[in-house]
Amino acid sequence: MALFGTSFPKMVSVSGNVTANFEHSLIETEWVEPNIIEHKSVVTGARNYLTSESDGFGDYSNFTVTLYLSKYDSPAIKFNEIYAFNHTDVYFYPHSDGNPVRDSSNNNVVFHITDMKLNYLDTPDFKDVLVVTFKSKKYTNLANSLA
Amino acid sequence: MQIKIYRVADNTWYDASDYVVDAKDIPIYERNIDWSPVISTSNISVSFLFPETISANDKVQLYFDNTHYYNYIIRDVQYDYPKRVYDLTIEKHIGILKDMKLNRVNLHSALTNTSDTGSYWVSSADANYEKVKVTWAIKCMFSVNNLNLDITDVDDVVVGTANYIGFETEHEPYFPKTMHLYDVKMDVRMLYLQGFNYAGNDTGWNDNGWKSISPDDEQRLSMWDFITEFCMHMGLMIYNHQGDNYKLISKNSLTTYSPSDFVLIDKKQKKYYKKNPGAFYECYSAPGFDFHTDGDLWRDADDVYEVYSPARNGVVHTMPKNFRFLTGVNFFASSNYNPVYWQMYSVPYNGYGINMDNWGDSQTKDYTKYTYTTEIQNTIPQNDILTMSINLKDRTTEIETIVFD
Repeated sequence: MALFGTSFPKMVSVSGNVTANFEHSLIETEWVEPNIIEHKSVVTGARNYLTSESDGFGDYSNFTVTLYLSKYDSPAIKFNEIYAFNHTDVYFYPHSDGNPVRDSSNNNVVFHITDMKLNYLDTPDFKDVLVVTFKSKKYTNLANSLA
Repeated sequence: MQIKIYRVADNTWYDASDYVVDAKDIPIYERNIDWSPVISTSNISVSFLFPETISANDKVQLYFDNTHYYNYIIRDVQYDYPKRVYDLTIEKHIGILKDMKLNRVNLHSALTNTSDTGSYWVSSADANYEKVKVTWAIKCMFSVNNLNLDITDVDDVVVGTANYIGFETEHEPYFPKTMHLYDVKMDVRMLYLQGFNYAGNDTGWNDNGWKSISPDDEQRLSMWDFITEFCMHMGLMIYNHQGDNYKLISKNSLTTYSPSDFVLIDKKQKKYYKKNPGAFYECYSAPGFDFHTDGDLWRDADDVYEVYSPARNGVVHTMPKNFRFLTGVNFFASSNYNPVYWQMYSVPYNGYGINMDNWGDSQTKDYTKYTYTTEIQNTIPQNDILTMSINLKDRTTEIETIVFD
């Protein structure tokens, strides 16, 4: 049983509440990208860490979804649907049957789509894929994101 | 190695060793080429996670062991938010001498707190003028700032010899033919008026029309101003050997000191050679002023300062730029005093300084500098050391030396 769900990823636009699904896709997850400070003493070598959100630190989450456009009946229509979200803010569901990624206050975390890269699979017939990168704008909390 | 921070707010020392995340070279000792001591500063960065609040005027102690530790005062605290560190500007603790004015209010009770008539006495023959041994005065400047200065090593240093013509032994405690540092005395009122360019009186007298000078008058020197000038002219060094314990040492007696008195914790040494001997060593005695007075200075209508009353020997005096003797005053054979004649030592605050041009044509003024890194040798003459500092990050001791050869 997967912690966060089993179905394909999806996203919901923050501004217009528009949903887009990634039915044919591969998701690469970076659930935790620590943003902390390490203070190492030059006198004793002791290491201290600033990690708490109250001090302004925490963990980001990043996801990369590779969308197989060639598996859709009309790759162009799917491309246009997804590409309309480029460089926008969305709520991201790693699995559409689970929860969106949430923060420590149990609020949905806003992700920014930092880039969409159109590419081909490494095959002789040039199958189109769209690689979409999501980066959380604030710190995330995995426990609140469980399915 | 350990670093402690003293919070004035709760009068407590805290161990900050685990929280010092960065540091520039920490000064241990520093002087100028002219022997004047330097109040060194440096910077350390303390983590935001250090549980105590740090403020300016708190203190820092750098410990190497129980006998080698050094005190600093925090002059400035800046919070670097992105790095979450407090950047501290620290200064050798002796820097507090800059903060206190040289005046009667701050110093006089300490000066008089001795039964040693060689350190402080009142000359009844000179209308109750007070005189003080300069090294004792400097020691008192330290003590009123809760610093300890050991002057025992320099008191008997010979600073010069002189001829004299007769004297009466009942007038003064000291009439040495060979002048030692303990012979260098000052009229107390002149001590308090160091650095002024006009005649005045520090006790508030006004009956002769003299200017009455406030204890906090902006022209007053700080205690440090006086000390550094005196050390420069007399060739003295202030050596911090433990905590707030300082020692006044003379370049003439330095051979009795060992480099082991310093903390040498690693192997890095810089050497600076200066190929310039000679007159540098002669400048400090300021031989141009071979008279003295414990009297007062008058300023005449031409704005020329005049020495009014005759003097007792052994008293150091600073002369303004323009001065002359009043007509008829014979400093060496007055009707009131028996003649005394020998070289006196002045601290010419406004007059002379170390003048590079006096070093002589035969000596190069080029600062020929060699830099190399070598093993620390236990043969570094202490008087060659210009600066010494500790690099906390790579555990090296940086030493700059200057060698006259």
